[in-house]
Amino acid sequence: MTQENRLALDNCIKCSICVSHCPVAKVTERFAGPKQNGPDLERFRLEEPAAVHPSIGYCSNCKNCDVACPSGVSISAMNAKAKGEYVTLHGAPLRDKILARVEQMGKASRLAPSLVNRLGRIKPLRVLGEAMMGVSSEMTMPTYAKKTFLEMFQPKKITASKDKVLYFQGCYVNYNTPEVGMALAAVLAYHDIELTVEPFNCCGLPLIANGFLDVAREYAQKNVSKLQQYIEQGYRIITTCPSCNLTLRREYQELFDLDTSQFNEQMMDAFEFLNLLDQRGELKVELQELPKRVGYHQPCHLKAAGCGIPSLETLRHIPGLEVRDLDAGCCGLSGSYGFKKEKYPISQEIGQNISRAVQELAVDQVISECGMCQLQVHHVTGAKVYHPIQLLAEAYHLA
Amino acid sequence: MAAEKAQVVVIGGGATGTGILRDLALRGISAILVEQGDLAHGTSSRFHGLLHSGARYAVKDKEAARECLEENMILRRIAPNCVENTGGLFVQLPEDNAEYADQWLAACAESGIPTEELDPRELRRNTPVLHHRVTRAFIVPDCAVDGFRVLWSNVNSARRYGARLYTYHSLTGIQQSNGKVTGVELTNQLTGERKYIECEMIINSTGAWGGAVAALAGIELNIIKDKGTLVAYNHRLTNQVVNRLRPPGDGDIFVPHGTITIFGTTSVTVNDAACTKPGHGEVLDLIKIGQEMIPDLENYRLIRAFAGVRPLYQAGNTAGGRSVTRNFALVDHQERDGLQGFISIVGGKFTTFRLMAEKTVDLAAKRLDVTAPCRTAEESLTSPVSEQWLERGKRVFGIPGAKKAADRLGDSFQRVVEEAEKNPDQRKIFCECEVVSLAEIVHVAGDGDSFTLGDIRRKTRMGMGTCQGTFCSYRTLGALSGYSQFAGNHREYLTKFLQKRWKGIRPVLWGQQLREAQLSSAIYCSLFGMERML
Repeated sequence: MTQENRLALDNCIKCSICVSHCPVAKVTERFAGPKQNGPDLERFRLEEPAAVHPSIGYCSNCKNCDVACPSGVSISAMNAKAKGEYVTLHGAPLRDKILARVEQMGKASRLAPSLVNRLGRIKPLRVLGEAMMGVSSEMTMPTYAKKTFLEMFQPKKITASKDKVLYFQGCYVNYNTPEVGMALAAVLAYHDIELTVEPFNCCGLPLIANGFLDVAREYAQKNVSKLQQYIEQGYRIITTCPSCNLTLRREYQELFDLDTSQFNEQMMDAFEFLNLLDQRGELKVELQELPKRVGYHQPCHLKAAGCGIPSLETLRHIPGLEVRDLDAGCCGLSGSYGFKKEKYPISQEIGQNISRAVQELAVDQVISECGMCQLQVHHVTGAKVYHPIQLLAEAYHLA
Repeated sequence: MAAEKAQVVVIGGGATGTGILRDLALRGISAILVEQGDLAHGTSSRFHGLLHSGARYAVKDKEAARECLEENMILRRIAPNCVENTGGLFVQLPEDNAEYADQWLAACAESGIPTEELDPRELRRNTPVLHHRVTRAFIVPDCAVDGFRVLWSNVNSARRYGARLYTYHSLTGIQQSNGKVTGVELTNQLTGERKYIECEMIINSTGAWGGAVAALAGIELNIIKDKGTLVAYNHRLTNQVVNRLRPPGDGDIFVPHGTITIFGTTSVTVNDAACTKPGHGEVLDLIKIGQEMIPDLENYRLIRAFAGVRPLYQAGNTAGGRSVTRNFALVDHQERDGLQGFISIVGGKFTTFRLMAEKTVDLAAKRLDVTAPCRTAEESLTSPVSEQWLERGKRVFGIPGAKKAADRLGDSFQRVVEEAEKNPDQRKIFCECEVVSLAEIVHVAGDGDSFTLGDIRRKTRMGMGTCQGTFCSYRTLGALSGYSQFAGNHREYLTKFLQKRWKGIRPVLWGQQLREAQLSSAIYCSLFGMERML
């Protein structure tokens, strides 16, 4: 344990604010809460690394504890490590091993994406899947795209590009919502900025959240060495997925002790980058009027990144557009979490806040940066949900 | 009032007194132990919790060192759940006398204490908190020992052989006739009731109170009261006991103890046996010395300070403080003062409590014409919790909760687990810092020996972690309102409990512990309005 971690551990004054902000602890007694699993038991783990409470599996890794903590304790990192310890000691069900390997699932789906999608909608098959594998038959499956983002994207040489930008597209955009990546590419090309892509490994978050830290570490090391090369050539790295962003910038360092200081400064959310252009007076602000009202859901991992809501700043330039913040907290899905049979009811209970907010605000469209949040918001409300970059592309007539 | 009878009344429920009670009971001598507070009221709960390997004493006193090593090995064997086999380190810094290390090594070898030199580079890798300037390091068989648990295990073992215990009873008189002890007068500290016990013999094992007890028999016994202050850190700084390799002095021992680290000690002569208030200045002095071994020491969070009084005995009384022997002395008052049936056992240290008890009871048995030999080193003090029950415990309390509860509860663990299995509400963790469940608290509250929140704290560690009782004390009290001893004025119970916690917090009131104290006072003074309540 590093000196910083020891001191951070000492910072906890047991105020329990993290517990009161934990969306899981709010709806179930099965989870002993972030404080108990994190800083409380961390003191025991200094003596006995196996001092992990079995309820650690109920941590959804939303990181609201980190955001709430007034004492700067890295609670979620302690919980993630504890989950890793637990899985090392007790193993994990096959289901978790599959759900955590988002990259491999995406690759496998390429054989016949539309068939995979159809199978995912056959109820009796889903019931069987629940009985045999423990994957909830109720949860809407993500749809695999006909073509991946990396297949669709045509690199375009832009002479005198204003910036060198590398896009870490993430698995969900690549395999499920390539239109998000395409919208970003269009917006940047419209601003004469060349976009570079690269077949990265999965950022590793689904692995971390399921306790497979060793596999995640391998991915992290590969990704870091690739990113390092781009940084050395003066690239910025942008993301559209807040979870990938947080994992690369924070988790690699906190969980795996990887030095990411070099690219931390150069890595940002796509909208942070657009706002930077705006500050330099380079953002094109002649936008089409979009006279509609959409709800906005802030993903927990964007909140945890502590950069505000960059997309809302950019979208303000769109005439006629009214964006209403749902302000409903965690959506409850947390990646693979809500797909697990025993966690599905918890995830739906948490998601009730979203459906209430959508009803109150009477919106039928919602925007949100995180692919998994998009899926859950749609699942609990039926609303059309998409990424804010798609809205921006539409206002630029690029959609 | 019909008097209760026993052959021997032991005064003083510390390590030695409970050890004597057990030894007497195992030899078939009827015995009652009397203690003015809870067990370990005195020095047995106010030390660093180090089970010496003897290495600390090897240079100065080989006999004491040999005794320590032997007793260390015995206690590991008979009470594994009370001992944490951490191993110990002796580390030397450049400013320490290099020759002392060789002298110490030779002395350890002579006393039979195994030592193993450790490459300083390896030390830096394994124990990075230690100063990188450490020149030499040695491994010795030091351990951490839980005083409360040893004492209660002694009593529980003795009870199986018919021994009795009165806690919260102070000795108010010693009856004698014709130069012989005939009985003791006791006063119940909680109710004021008086009690008389007829006996043939009194054993005075009251540590720092030894002189006061002897005085009740009209005998003068001079005990040097040497106060030592210690501090508790919020977490384990090292996984082994760390000693400074130089002649014993202040601030040279770190002991990892479950979740915390205890660091001490100081040495100052005081007049009062109950002088256990730790001072701010002493704490600052300790940290300053400790930083020579652990440079970041001032940045780590202290949760409290505490002080104990070493009862030192030097026949003749010329030395003081560190130069007084840490050995024990058995005073046969029949020979020395002509009072039959009165024995005092003075001085000594926790590690050798069993041996002290053995020697004392050897004498007592001789005087009582009992020939049964001592069996305390052979018979197990506690039986370890079986794997099967530990597994069941893990399912209801989680891994750390079950392991710690099994160590604390020993033979009662099974009952507590069964209760928690039947009633899921009982699985709730009331003390989150030390992972103590409601089931355990309820069990202890009903054991017949728990009269205050402090008694529950000592048996469970409830309130001894990071928050120092901020959250668990009101929870515990709330759950115990059905018990007659907790059915009175809640404000009073809480105040008594918290003030004792605060006694230890005040000398370390800075950094995170200051924030903790702010939170605690906000909860009790504002939220609960305790300052305004009558």
